[in-house]
Amino acid sequence: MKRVLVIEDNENNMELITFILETHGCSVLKAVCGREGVEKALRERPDFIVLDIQLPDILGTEVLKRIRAEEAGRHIPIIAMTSYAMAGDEQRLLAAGCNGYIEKPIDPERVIGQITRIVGELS
Amino acid sequence: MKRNGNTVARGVVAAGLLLAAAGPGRAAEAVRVGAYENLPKIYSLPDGRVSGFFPAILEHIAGQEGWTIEYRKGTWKECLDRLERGEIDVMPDVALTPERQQKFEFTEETALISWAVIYTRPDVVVQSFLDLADRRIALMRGSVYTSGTGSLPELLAKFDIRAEYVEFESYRDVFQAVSRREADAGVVNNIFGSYFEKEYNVARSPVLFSPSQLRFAFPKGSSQGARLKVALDRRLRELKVDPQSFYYRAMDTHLYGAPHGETPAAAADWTAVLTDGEKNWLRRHPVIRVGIDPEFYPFEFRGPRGEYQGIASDYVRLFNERLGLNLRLVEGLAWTAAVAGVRSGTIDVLPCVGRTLEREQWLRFSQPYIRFQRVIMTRLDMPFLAGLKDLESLRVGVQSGTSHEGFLRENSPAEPVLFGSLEESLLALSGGKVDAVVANLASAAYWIRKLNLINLKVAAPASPEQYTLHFAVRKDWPELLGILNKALDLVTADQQREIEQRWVAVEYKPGIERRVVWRIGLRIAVGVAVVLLVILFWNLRLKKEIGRRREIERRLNYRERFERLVAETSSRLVAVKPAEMDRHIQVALAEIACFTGTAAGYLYAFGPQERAERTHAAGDLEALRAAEPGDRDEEWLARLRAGRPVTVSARADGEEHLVRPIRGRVVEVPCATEEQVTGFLGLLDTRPEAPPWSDEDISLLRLTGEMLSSALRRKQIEENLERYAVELERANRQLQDLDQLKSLFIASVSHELRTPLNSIIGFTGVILKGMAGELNDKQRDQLQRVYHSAQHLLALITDIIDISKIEAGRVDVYPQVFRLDEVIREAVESIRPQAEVKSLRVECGPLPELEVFTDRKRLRQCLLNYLSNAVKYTEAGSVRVEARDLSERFEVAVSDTGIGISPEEQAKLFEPFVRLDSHLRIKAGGTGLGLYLTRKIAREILLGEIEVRSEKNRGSTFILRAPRRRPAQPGEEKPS
Repeated sequence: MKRVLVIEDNENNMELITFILETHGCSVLKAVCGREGVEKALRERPDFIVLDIQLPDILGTEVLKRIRAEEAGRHIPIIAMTSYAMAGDEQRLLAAGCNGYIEKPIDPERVIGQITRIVGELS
Repeated sequence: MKRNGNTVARGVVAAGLLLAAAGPGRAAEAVRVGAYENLPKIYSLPDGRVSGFFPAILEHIAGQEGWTIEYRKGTWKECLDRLERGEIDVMPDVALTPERQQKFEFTEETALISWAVIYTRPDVVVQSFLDLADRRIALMRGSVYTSGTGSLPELLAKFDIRAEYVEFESYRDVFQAVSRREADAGVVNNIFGSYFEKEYNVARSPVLFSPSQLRFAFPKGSSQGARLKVALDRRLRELKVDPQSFYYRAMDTHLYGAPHGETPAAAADWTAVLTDGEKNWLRRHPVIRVGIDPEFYPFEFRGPRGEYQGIASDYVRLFNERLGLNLRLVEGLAWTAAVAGVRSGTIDVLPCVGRTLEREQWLRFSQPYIRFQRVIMTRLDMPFLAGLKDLESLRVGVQSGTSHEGFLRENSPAEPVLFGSLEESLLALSGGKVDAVVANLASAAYWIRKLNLINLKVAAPASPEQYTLHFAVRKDWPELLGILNKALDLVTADQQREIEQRWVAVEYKPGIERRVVWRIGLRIAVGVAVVLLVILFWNLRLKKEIGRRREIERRLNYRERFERLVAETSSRLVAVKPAEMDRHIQVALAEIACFTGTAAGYLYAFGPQERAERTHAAGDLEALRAAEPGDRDEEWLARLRAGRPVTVSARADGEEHLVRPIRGRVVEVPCATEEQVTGFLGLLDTRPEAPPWSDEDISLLRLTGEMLSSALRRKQIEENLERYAVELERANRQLQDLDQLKSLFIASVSHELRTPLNSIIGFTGVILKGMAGELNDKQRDQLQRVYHSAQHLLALITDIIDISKIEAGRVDVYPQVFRLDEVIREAVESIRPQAEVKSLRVECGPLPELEVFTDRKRLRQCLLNYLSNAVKYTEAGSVRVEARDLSERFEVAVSDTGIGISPEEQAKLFEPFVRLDSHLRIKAGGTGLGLYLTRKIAREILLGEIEVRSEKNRGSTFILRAPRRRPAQPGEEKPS
């Protein structure tokens, strides 16, 4: 069973992604803003992180940077979630150190497909 | 304290000089200027130097800007070719035409306005273009009058008139060809024409055409040219605003034949002779107001354009130059008003005035600098006069307000008959209205020759002494008198002689044959006997020939000069800025009043309440006020409104004449613009013996009135334009603000709309997958509908946002290098599931492995749009994608075997919210924005184009072509 940290401020999205991940056998940790996300990521060292890019306090890319700056967070796979990504977003996100990204609206099969490609089987 | 002040002032001057010597802090910029032969605008002197109006202006500006001018001489055509190749930096004297604007950059400011004039052989009569049919016409190669819009051949072709054209290298050659009868007519510009017509055997026709604005031209795309243009525009603007500036002086000297500014003797600074006290005084009095006699020929007078001329004018100019004085003429004053001005403190100096006891009370006189003999003039048929004593029983005329009047009153008991001008007094003498006139010899000789008054003679000196003319300064300014006396001391005898000769040796007017004209080197202070002999001799020779022609000549001459005044004034008014217009109209009125010998000129405008209000007036305003009839009565105004001129005075004079209790005579002509009478131009004549207004005078006045009212109209239009421009700019700023607001709105709405939709789609998707428990068929079907509707709404929002972003120019472009075939395969794979649902084949044709540099995501979006359309509108068969390498560009084509599109529908295809009218339409879904957006992306982001080929029921092919390497656009950031 994989431990996953979801960093997402929108309650509905949090519910949706948690439901999908739990259905596929993950145990989900939750953070509702960027700072909490960075703190939990470094403390809890989950198996992977799903990170919403538009957060209320700090930019998703900044969250990425802070996690990657610490030894504890350097190797945790991070999958970014974006709403309507542009070509530039993709490049920026990969450059900032994320391992993959998924676009909203979330399609359960595509999300699981993308995540397992990056982190392996979930359960 | 005072001493300190001096030292400081000197220090500042020294610093200024140092700065001037050091230049503007950069090396002199070499400017290559094209020069050709077009006297008097630009020409070579015998020693090879380049001179003329344009070089004068250019060198003046070069001096201020620190340029060094290098002339490159050639023919007109050669110069323009060089300019086009960038081998010269500036070409002066280029007429602005749309054709030339394609080739060259031009200054915004116009240096001169000129037009074409047709000259003919004296035996050829040309009254209009029609008379040019089948004529042989000489033109200058490369001129605007020779080819292109507004050229003579083009104009004649419009009238279907055929003529033979011969081209020459210069206007001189054109005149020569006409003179030598090699051509029947020739075209030159007005400036060249009026300057040289006398030297050739040519006749000026009344045909004028193609007024053009002469400007400075630069090569296209040259950065130096752009710099020169900015500097020249700025300097020209400054020069044109100031009527005393070098620009107008250069016009006078180079174009209108005023004596050249190079006054005798080398330019030297005379300020060394001034004491510190005098220099200080000059600094405290930066402007010295000068009043002149506009008709004191040849001592001082105003030329046809109102310029100051005559012997005294040279002294004034010389002193301004050498001593740095600022003796400035006060405009629009008659002599009496100028003299009165000194008493009332509005005039400081009279440069040319005789000394009388009365004047000594309120004027200080300089040492004399002009000497003349006061003489008695009579008619040839009068008995011999020995001197002043013989005048006692005679009617003696004299110009009022002159020293001669004072002299007569002091020395003769008879009451003199007063005239407004010497000219009038001599005409009266010639016509028998008086028996003698006392005047100075030089002026009298000048007028006798000018007016061809052949029955007059110099009878005797009025007194044995010589009389003198002086500068006169207001009584409370002894300092200035000291300065002027010093300056007069510095004028050498040679200089004095040169100046006098220049003005006394007046040229003869055309009409008298040259061989019979004696070049009389009439010099001031030549003995009376010599003059008497000369005049008698001359009279006998010319009497028969001239008598007949005298009056005609005078009228012709007058008309010609009047026309010239109107033409010159109007070309000046054309170049004037709206803010300067009123002042220039004032000047024009003063000139016209001066020219016609009337006291004042004025302009009225008809107001809204049937009333007329005076808008401008110049001249003797005192007299005008005195003559003012109050409100003009209805009959008077009705005539003007009906477009008829009126003449008015207190005495009856002809049928059309209005009799009203006014002082003097008034002529008023309506000013009409576009068939509406907007006001009228009037002249007030206060001369007791004023000649009646002829029809010719009135028609010239009407011309003047029209010119003035159209200038005023232009002013109004330009002021409106300026106001509109300000309003437009404000509206633009508001629009820009709104635009920003719109973008902000779209950005926020985009997020706000999308977030709930994402939730709807996400949860519906999860439920549909059965992840939250099993659904029955009905539930599944209904939830499918929710899912698709939400998807549709999301697509619509996404498209709208894309379109708004592109329209607002706020779309970010991310060009990158990628393989074209890969993007195509990606798009095909993502559409395949939809195609398979309809059992359609999706095939890829040959796809070249082409590397491209453009926005990958946007290209993919276009391809997906094409593919999803193809799948939507095809029921059976296949969808096929092909790509081609077009070297600079690439092409992708998506073909289907679907319903096809009729030509009418093809036309509407790319409009927003248009979908094909077919039974497939409802099934097909879609936002209706797909092709509209695709075309926008293709054009504005990929910088390419799209195309459709289709036939009803035969399928369609949608094509996209775009550059393989997308060039960066201005304003775009370079992709990092």
